[in-house]
Amino acid sequence: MKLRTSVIMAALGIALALPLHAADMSQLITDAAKYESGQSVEPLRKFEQLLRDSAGKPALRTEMEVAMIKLLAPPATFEAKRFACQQLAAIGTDASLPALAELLKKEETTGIACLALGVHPSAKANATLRVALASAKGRARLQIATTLGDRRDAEAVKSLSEMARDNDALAAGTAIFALGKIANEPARKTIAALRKEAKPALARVVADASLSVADRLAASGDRKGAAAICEEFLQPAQPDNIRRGAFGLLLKLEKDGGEQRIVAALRGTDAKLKPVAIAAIGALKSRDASKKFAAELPKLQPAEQVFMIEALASRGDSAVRDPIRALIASADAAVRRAAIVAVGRLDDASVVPQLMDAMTGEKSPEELQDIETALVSLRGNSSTDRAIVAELKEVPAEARVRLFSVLARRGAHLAVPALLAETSSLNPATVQAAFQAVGKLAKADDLPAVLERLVGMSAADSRSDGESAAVRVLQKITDPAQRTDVIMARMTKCSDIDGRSSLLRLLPSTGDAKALEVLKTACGDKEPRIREAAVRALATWPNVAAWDMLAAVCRQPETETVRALAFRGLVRLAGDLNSKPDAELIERYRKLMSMARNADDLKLFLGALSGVAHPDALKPALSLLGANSVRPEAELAVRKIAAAVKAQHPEAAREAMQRLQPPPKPSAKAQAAAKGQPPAKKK
Amino acid sequence: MNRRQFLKRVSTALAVPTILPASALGLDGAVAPSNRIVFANIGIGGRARYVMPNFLAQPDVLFTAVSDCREDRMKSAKEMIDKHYGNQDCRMFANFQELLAQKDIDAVFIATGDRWHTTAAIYAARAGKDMYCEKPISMCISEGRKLVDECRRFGTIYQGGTQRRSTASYRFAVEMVRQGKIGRLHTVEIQVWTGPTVGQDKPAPVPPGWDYDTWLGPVQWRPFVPARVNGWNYFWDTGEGPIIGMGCHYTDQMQWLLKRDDTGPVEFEGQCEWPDPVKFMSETPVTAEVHCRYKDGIKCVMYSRKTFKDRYIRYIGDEGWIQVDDETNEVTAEPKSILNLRGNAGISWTNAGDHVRDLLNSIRSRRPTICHPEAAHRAQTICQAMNIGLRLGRKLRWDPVKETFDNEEANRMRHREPRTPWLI
Repeated sequence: MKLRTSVIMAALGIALALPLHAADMSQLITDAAKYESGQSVEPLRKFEQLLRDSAGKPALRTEMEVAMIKLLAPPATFEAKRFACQQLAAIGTDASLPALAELLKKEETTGIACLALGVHPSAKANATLRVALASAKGRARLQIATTLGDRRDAEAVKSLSEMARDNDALAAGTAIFALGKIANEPARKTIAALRKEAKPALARVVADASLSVADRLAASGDRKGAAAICEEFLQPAQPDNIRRGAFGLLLKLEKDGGEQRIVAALRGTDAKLKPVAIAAIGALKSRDASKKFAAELPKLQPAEQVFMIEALASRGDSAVRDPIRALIASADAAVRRAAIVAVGRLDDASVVPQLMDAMTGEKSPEELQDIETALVSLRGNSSTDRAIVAELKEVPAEARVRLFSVLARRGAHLAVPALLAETSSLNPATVQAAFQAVGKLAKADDLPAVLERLVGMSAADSRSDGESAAVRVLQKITDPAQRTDVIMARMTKCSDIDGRSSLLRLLPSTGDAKALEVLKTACGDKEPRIREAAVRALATWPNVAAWDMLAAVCRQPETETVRALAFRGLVRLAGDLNSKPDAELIERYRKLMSMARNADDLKLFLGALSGVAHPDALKPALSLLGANSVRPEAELAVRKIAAAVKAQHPEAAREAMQRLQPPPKPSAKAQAAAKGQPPAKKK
Repeated sequence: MNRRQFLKRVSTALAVPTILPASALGLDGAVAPSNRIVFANIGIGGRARYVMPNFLAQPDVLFTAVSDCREDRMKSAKEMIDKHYGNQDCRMFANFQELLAQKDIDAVFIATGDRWHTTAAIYAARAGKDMYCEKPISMCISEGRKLVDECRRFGTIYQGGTQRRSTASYRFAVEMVRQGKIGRLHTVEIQVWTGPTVGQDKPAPVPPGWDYDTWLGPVQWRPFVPARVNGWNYFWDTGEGPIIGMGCHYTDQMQWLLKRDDTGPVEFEGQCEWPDPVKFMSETPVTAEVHCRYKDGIKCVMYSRKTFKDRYIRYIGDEGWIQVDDETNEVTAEPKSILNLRGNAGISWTNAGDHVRDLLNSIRSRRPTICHPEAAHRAQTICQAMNIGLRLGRKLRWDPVKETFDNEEANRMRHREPRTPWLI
């Protein structure tokens, strides 16, 4: 990036790093003045760089402004003028006003002039705009009026007030909008008068300007003036959004934060304002607001209760807990679910029994999910964790499984002993979920306990769940040798064949030499199940260190199952080495091919071989093209290898691909000759 | 209670967002027509078509109208909506103000080009419509403030399109940082992609079926140049490149995490590589590295580099880090044990269903959405301040209370005078 940047900066002109000579600037202006889309933007970018470079350099900044002013005059193109106005928006001073005044005179350039004038810091800019407004027509007039409003030019109020009564609604609306922004006393009077005139075509813009005025009055401390406007717009005849906005501002204006007004709305029948009132409760600052409005809960309709629960929960204080808790048992499902979500945000261990109760009975999956999420979110850390653990024995199996997940998501490490105890369940789903949670929560220190539970398991079906959990915990020990030590410490005390087999299957997760030796020894164990477990473990060994042992098993297998396991392990290891395709790897594949005994083996072999980007990998794949049982797999392997080596070894790839071509069809003459017929004549 | 206190409450309230599914509001069965929220669309380009199914999938939403300045797009959107409902009822409005005048429409989904977002949103608020509006929500800082004011003034429910606030992976990361799982947060690292460039192109006749004047909207007039119109994202008038296009998603996450939806950083400084002006007419940076800092010292660095798929946000604390990769929705962390605390992976940002649900709940309850205007404006302001700093080539200090820079030029760049007749 740095290099590219330097090149570009050089392209922008070395002159920028040096004092800019008058001749350079003159040329730059000449070039920029001709700019139209499609030409190089280089002159414009040079000016932008000049703007950056002129920070803190008044002389250069003045020079830059003079250049921009020159760009505003003929013969500069429209796009050049537009660019100059954009720059003047950031740097323009009084010096640029005469040139901008000229642009204001033409409708096509009024907009770009206002681009520069909208934020011009000088009061003289207002005068320039006012003069232009007097004679402007059409869109130019609208533009200038808008800009005067944006500048909050108090002296423009008279002109704008006249314009506000223009017969053209767009012109009148533009002026009213500008007056709303200015919002000084004369502007307020005009807007108040317009409210009384109540012209339907201008109703929205008058309302907007009036509420803008109310905002300004409120900000200046004139609550009474602001409230009077809001009360006008609160009337039922007004559009809903204007009533809502007025209501919202009134709440802020009132000394009690609008509490009384909210109570009145809650007890009233105005369906449009009631939700607004409820939503405002969350922001009330009085201390007893939570208690006061929680007391309103039972009086509300279910849909309103849902909104109220949300509003109260957003206050986050203890006063709302009990009233919301009570609604966990509501007859209305929507209310129940809102309450459950709220207690999850607000509550602690003490609500756990109630959430447990809520979990029982006929509940939708969504509601059960809400309860689970609430339990995960509850405050109280270990006290809440303990409360959930205490519930494990009290709830039915299905709920227990949910609680395991909750404990795992809470990171409740203290639950590990209870979860391990749950793995004794006769319900496989419970055992699986408990082990999943153990895998997530247990730490290295828990490993002996996890292994103890694993070797003591009686249910064969769930043993793999236990092994998966143990592997996850083992992975939390960074030193592989230490992992092996923990496993071996337990193995020396284990005489049970299933238990020992499980422990052997954990050894690949260590990947260290000591563990490999243990497996080697186990391959010669007198017990067949131990030998098979050892081979299974070897077949999942994470690196090539197990190659020779697996190859030995493959060559002299005790059973076909063991051989197949060993062969698959070798194929996997070979595949893992594909990223470094060298002669050694080719040799491994050669040996592997020699160990294949059937079509299934060859298919596995070809699958791995196809990932070798080496020309010598083509030979074994090509040699299998003639074997009908694996012809499609061999073809695919040839194609993949050829594609991978094509760039480096085009000839080898081409030759291999040619071997895939079907033999050329014999000519018609040859076919006829073969059938003993004369060849057909051409027509 | 002043605005800051109010927003503090709001942001606390939304610390754990409540996204009640339709079924929780008793809307799981057939929804009575009177209970449906009637929507219309303003601006139907690729983004709108991508998001629209998330609205159509809601049982309590009925889409009835579309508006676009391109006839071809409008017709195509009508077909999409009519096909969904199995009727021909979707109305088309070339003029979006006519659409806003329809009394049966409750809310709008705004997915115009960026230049139109604020203007369309403000017009919708004045017309009494609630809305979802795509990000970036504004083209300059003053526009954003006006949007906030107008939504408040009209009691409008507004939701910004930074839907990652409703995405499980991002919420998980935020929650983990808030729970102190990475220790004390000190840096937020953000990566968006390398900014594309647009080659030189000449003015051309406006294609048939295009209303170019409406396309420009509040942008001061300039000639129709196909490459500039198609690559609008990379010209300051109409877009602000990946720093804003994607960056605002991430600054929004950062602000949300820090519970600073009503404030922002105090310092910005960066450097960038500009497009080669001989080859390219586009204006926004190609690559950039921008730093900002909050008053309490928390730092953010945003990189614009690498490819689109390499975007991420990483929270770095003194005891670890957690990262969300946007392309894959994958969460990674150190220590890795943090990841054990995650429930299911949830849906990625590509499914905006939860975000839409939040909007619909808010329209009914009138409580602020999870991406309310002030939050959206403040997240956007960070990116805009970054761009202003790059354009001026200097370090800037920002007062987030007064919303002013310590530099006159930068302050002037907070505003752009809109073209009439658009009043914002």
